[in-house]
Order: sequence, then C-alpha cells, then structure tokens
Amino acid sequence: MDVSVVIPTRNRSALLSRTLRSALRQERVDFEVIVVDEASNDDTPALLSALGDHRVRVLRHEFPRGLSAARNHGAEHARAEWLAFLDDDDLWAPDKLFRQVSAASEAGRDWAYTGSVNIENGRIVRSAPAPSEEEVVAALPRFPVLPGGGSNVIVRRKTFTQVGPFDTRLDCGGEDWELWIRLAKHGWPAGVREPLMAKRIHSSNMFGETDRIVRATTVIQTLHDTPIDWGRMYQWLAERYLRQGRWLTALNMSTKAAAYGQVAGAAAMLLPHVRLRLRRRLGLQEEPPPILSDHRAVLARAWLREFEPILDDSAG
Amino acid sequence: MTEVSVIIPTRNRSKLLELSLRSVFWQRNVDFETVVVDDGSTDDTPRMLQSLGDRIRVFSHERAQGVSAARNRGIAEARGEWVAFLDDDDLWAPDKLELQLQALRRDDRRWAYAGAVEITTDNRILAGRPPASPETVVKELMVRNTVPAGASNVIVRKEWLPIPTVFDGSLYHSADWDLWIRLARRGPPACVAKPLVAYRFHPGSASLDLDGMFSEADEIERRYGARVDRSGFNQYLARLAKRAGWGRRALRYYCRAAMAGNRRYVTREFLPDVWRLCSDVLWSRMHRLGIAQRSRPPRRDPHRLWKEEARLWIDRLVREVPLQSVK
Repeated sequence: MDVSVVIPTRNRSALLSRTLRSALRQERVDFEVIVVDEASNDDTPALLSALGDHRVRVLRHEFPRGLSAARNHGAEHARAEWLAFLDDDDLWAPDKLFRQVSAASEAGRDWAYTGSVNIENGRIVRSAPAPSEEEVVAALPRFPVLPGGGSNVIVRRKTFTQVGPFDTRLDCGGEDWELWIRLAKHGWPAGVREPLMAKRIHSSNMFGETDRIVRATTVIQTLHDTPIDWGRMYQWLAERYLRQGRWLTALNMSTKAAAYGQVAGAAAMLLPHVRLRLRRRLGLQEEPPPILSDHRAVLARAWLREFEPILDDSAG
Repeated sequence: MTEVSVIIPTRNRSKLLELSLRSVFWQRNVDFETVVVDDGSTDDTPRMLQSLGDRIRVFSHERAQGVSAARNRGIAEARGEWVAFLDDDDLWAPDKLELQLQALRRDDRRWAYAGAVEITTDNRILAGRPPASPETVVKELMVRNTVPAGASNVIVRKEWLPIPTVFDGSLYHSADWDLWIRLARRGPPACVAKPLVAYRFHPGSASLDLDGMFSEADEIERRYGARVDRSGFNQYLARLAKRAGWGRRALRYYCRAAMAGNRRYVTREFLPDVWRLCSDVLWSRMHRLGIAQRSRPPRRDPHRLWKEEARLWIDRLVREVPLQSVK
C-alpha cells in the first residue's frame, strides 16, 4: 500500500462527506482512509457506517482528545509507506497523492507539499503561488509558509515515527506548523507547486480561532528557539481578523505588522477594505467580489467543480 | 547516446503543433529525440501524434495539469544529454540546436539561448531584435526577463537542472523567468546571436492576463529579492495591450510606466509612446470609417535586417508545409 490518509473529524457530517469523496477519488495510488471520529454526536457515525467502502476504517473516540491526538492515533493505525492528513472540511484534487508521492520518490525526499487555494461560499478567495523548496526550508522556522494547514503535507511513515507525532500541547492552531518545522530540520521536502488542495474558510473552522494562533506562535518560539517573523505573522493574523469582520483588531494587528516592517503589505491589505467601507458609508453600490482568474485559480476550478458547486465558474 | 531531448508540451493546438513539430524534424546535424507531453487535449491532437509513429515519444496527462507540469514530465522522461524546450505554437530555425550546441562547447557552458522574433498567427513577423549578451542577461535577470521568447529558446544540460522542481507550476507567465534566475545563479549561459526562434503572439486572447503578469513579477521580487524594473514592465504591458487593441488600457500602462520611471523615460520616451498609441488608434478608426487606407506608411526600423534573416527560414518552413486553417 502507498498511502494512509488520516481524517480527524468532529460534528461536520455534511462537509465530511464531500471531503471523504475527494479522498476516495484519489487516482493511481493504493491507499487506505482512517477516519478518527472525535466523539461526534451528529449523524457522522451513521454516515461513516453507511459508506461501505473497504478502504475506509473508522476509529472512534468516546471523548474528544483534540486534533493533534486524533491525528496521532490515526497515524498509529496506519499501514502504508506514506502518511497523509486531511482535515474534515478540506478538499483534494484527484491526483494529489499520486503527484506528491511520485515527486518525493523521484527526488528521494521524505516529505512533500503542494499548493493550495482557499474557498469560501463556492468562490476561490485566495490563490497565491506556492513557496519554493528553498523558501520552505529557510522560512518555516520564522513563518508558516506552507498554505492549506494540516491537509497539505504527506510524509513517509518511517519519518513520522522518527521525527515525532503532532505536539498535543498545541491544539487548534499551530500544531501543523510545528511539525513542519521539525520535518524541515529533518530534510528537504519535494514540492508540487500546482494547487492540488482547497482549504475551506467558514465561520466554524479553526482558521477563525485566531487568538489561539498567537499563543501557539509564542509556544513555538520558545520550543524551537526560532526568530519568528512577527511582521508577516501579524499581517497574516490581521487578514484573518478582517475576514471575521473584527475591524479594529485587524487594524491593531496591521499597525503591529507595519511596526515590524511590513508597511507596504499591511497597506495593500487594508486599502481595499477601507474603500469598501467608504463606499458603504457613502451609500454607493457595492462591487461584487473580484473573480480570481489567475493560472492557479483556473487549475483549481477544473478539479474543484467535481466536489463543490463553484459560483465563479464562468471565469474558468 | 541521444544528444538532445526536445520537449514539447501541448494542449488543443494540433494545427500549430504540426508546424512546430516540422520545425523540430528539420533540425540538422544533431542526434535528437522528440518528447511530446499532451496535457489533456480534447481535440484531434492525440490522433495527429499517433500518426507520426515512432518519430516522437508521446506522454499524456489525462487531466490538464498546466504547462509547467507538462514540461517537468517531459524532463523526467528525457533520455538526452541536453534538454531543449519548444512550446506548441513556436518555431525553430533548422540550425537552432546545432548552433547552440556549438556555442555551448565553444564556451564550455551548461545552458544557452538564442535570438528570436515574434510572429503572428499567420506567420508574419511582428517584432524582433538581437538578444542581450550573456553578461547583460545574467546581470539584468533580477530586473527583467532578459531571455527572449520564453522557454522555447533555451537548451540546458539535463543533469544540471534544479530538482525536484524545474518549472514552478504555481507560476504561469514567469515560470521560465523563475528558472532562468536559478540557472543564472549556477553559471552564465552561452548565446547564439541569430534569430533562431519564432514565438507566437496571439492577439486579444484570453491568455493575455496582464494583471496576472503583474502579480507574478511581485512574486519574483519576493522570492529572489529582485528589483523588477517597474517602468520597463509597464511599458511592456502597454505594448501588449496596444497590440491586443486595448487602447485605453495601453494608455493606463504607459502612464504607470511614466510614474514609476526615471526622468529619461518621462522626458524622452513617454510622449512619443503616447503619440504613437493615439495615432495608431486614430488610424484604425479612420480605416474603419473608410477614410484611410489599410496599410500605413512604414516606420524606420533599426532591426530590419534581423527580421529579414528570420523571414527567410520562416517562409521556407511555411511554404514547404501549407497551413490551411490556423486557429
């Protein structure tokens, strides 16, 4: 078997069914799926037992143990050469595992990453270029450069046992980044730069729990004794606060980002929002959000269509 | 052993690809193989490729993965000592590989480029000028993409390519520029100062994504600490917009170029650029109204000889291969 896919989940049956579909659609790899059910009390257990797919195994926790522990538990039960993690709300392209495994095997690397897009309500809202391998190794200790959170990286199971499991002290934010730092210390990754995964942004995901990320970052700073790039960090946080509509906190974060030297970046991020608020205040007609039409958004739309009703399809 | 692997990524362009393939097959005095990577074509490309039999090696991506992934696949399958890239709509002069290999051996270099001209969909020459010298190319790569004609121009030692990622699939317009920067860090290129490559400009096509080009230039700056020449880049985008017939956008880019530019551009070139743009737009309006003739008097062209040299081999290639319908 090539890959074991570990999916921790808790009370998100509707999203989980789409995520599972994208995991089970993986092509040209021999894989198993291990779903770790964190004491869901919605219809998740029913959904899982109704699947009837021999490739899916379910581990159930009667009490929630947290994201890191759930992933680690799933990884203990893995049997394949490679380990991949997938959050219960994210989506994978059908060739994601195959291309990561072949890129890593060809280059003789022990872990691999890919590009990612962010989707929100059926729109692609972010499609930045993926970082290069050099950049990942150089910048990871300072900033979480890998997009897509926990669903991005695949790692050899041997390496995972060696480098260690997810740190259970960091839960809900930063635990993925902390493991990637250790992986980058272990060795170079192989990168598949096309966006082969989609991170979903919605009110109930971890992504929103921004305060915890600040705390986690401080923990990581002490754990690894690394110089965190607070300028980029604050800008990144400001972006998240803006998305949640916490305008003043976002402004505060941008000011801090600017103080750490990210003046242009903070300004470029804030300006469209200032404009939007001004237009609203003046009672002008609201512009529809821009449809991203860059190369990465187009590539991602081509495979996303299968799993998700995509609203801005006309641009593809 | 095969000397050169020619790598051609293609997608839904069987007519143009046929001409490109013929420009590969007429390469002289070089032992080469042709690797075509079909990136999920849905037209008659697979059939056309099959009809060529064992003259080419074909690999297909079931689903389109983008041109970078296709080129990387081609590299992975290549058996040659050198790899040369050709896009499915571009053309090579018959002595392109031969002259580049000579230059590489003469200068003991690991990668090489040549001169180029730009052609239209019906194989007329649009523009072209001699390329910069290798020293200038290396020095100015951090300022602009100094290698003309994109990927179709370059030949490089296979084992010398950066692995695992050669072409970055998260870039589209600048994947080649990104690679040239990394190659230039390993060593300087060799150059053949002759028009050996013709690359095609598709007017008004959807692929003319000017904003995308801009954001990728930002990414190059961020990645390599480069300082892209904003003024020159805006001038380039203005020229593209002008050619695509987007007068107002062209004007906007010229203005941006002037704002980002040095005094020299503002005082000497900005007004003539705008004047030329306005007169072009006026001329085409007048032509549409039936007042002016189609062909306007030609401007003085300092690179006329360069274009003539390219026209000789392009005409020969096209005449020997009549193209009925080009999309």
